[in-house]
Amino acid sequence: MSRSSVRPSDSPVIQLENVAADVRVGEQWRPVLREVSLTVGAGEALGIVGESGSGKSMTARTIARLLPPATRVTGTVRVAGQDVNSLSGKSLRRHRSLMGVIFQDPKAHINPVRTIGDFMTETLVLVDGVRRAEALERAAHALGDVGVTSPERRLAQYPHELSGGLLQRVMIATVLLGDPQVILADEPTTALDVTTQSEVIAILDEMRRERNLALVFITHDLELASAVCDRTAVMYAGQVVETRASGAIHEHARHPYTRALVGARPTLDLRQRRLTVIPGRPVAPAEAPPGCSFHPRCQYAKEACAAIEPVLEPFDNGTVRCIRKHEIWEPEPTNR
Amino acid sequence: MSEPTPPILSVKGLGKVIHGVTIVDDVSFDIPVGGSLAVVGESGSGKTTVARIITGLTRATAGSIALDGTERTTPTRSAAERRARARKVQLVFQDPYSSLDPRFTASQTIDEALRMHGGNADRTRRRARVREIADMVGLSEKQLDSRPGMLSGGQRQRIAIARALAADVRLVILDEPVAALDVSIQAQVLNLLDDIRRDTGTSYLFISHDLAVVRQVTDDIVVMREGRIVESGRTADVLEHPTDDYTKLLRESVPQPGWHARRSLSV
Repeated sequence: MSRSSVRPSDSPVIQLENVAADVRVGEQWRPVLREVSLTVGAGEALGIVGESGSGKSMTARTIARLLPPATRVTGTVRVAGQDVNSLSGKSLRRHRSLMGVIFQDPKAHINPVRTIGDFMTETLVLVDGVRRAEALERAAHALGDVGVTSPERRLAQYPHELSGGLLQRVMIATVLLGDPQVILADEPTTALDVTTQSEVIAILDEMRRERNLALVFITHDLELASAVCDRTAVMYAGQVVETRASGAIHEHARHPYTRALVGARPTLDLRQRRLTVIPGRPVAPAEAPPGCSFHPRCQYAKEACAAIEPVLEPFDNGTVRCIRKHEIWEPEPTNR
Repeated sequence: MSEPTPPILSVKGLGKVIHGVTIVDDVSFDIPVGGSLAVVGESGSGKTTVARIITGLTRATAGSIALDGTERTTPTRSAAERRARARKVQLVFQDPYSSLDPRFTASQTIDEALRMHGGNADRTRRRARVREIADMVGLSEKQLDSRPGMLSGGQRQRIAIARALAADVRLVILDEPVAALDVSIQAQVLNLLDDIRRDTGTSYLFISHDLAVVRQVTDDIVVMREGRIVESGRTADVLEHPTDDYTKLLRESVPQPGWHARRSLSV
């Protein structure tokens, strides 16, 4: 696979500026995202990595505008130049048609009582008015593209007859039938075996390069994100705390949380005497302390960290949300 | 090695056939006292069935199991005998959300296991023991009085581990114990498991699909595929120099820096 074919265009396909989201719980508005700013260009893959409650899935939902009821979003979300928050009715449907969404559990998103063929062609036939025979032909072709053999036979089968890996391929093929500009993949391989995961990832990767798609890849797995994506954004308590080229995130992470995450994961090549432990547990934005959200778990935290809210700033070829970054790190020369 | 101590667990020629379908086929391995053995494989490899046979949740159709020198292939004849067996082997499941009684506080859960397995210790002695075990797994006084619903996944998994240790356990079977936990919590639990083994000499049978986790907490490994063992040996050796093609494929499928996903086969 050549990496040189990817050339992100000047204007990003996805642009988030200072996006905040709150969900109403009873009488209260509870924050789930706080000042999230991100861009993804055509043909580019951005990984969003975080633990429970970090807001990684919510970020994807904000882009697709697939939000839970009683959600308030502020800030700007632009996809292909359109302001996503102001869309409604027809324009919202058009927006969603630009978007292919792939979830963790394909079984939960494919109608179990309809055939794979029915599922795959539903939108083509009902919305785009394509004749059924032609729609099925296109579906078979799309299945072939993602490496499913004897696609005609698969189209006549029901979801329960297919393995998880095969269903995820069906999901990807279906999404590609809609000719999207953006793919949002939310933990697409978490439920799959490792060998199947590697296959599904390879297909996603190939598709986004061939079709110049903007890929947003959401995962809890830092290694996987950096293997799949050009850039990785790390989220904690509803905020982006670091963005960096994926190739540099292991060796050159500059946010203490990212560093700690890298150290906490065991590695294949070496048995560590002890894994680095991050004390405590990840917090949701609603329970985040004042100042830096990570400071109670941070080994570098000083008094000021509890008082000053850090902002995401360019630092050492990436962006970092930490007031002590200059004290902790000697920035490296830009031309590494 | 001229170590005369018999293994804590010895499995020989284990087989399981259900409705003519072979689920487990000729599986043999030993776990030395204080050892830690990984059983890795993908879905359908039979790894969980092996664990279920060892704990007595299901019966083997072939082979034999000896735990701590005692044959336990045949089903138990009495509740007392079943309890005696359970005392020696305990299970920790993947999902800490569904494996604990939601109405019990952490200390009640541990105390229950003590009453079942800990002989006839009185209440004061049991309370002291609950504290001791809670200390070992890092549960605070406040968490001991909490019900699972108020605790996080990592804290619940600590309760499950504490419950397993409450019995005078010799072998703990851990079925994907950290798969459902956040990365930062995983590290805490993996370190804890290492400490417990070092301090108490408890042996582990560690079932996992995650080779990096296995590298961290086990000494020996068996790789299973479609019910059979395809490779076995010291964990470090097998992961560094796999000889079986399937083990190699598993190894190469793990994403790491510089990794490229491969589209090897069509289905």
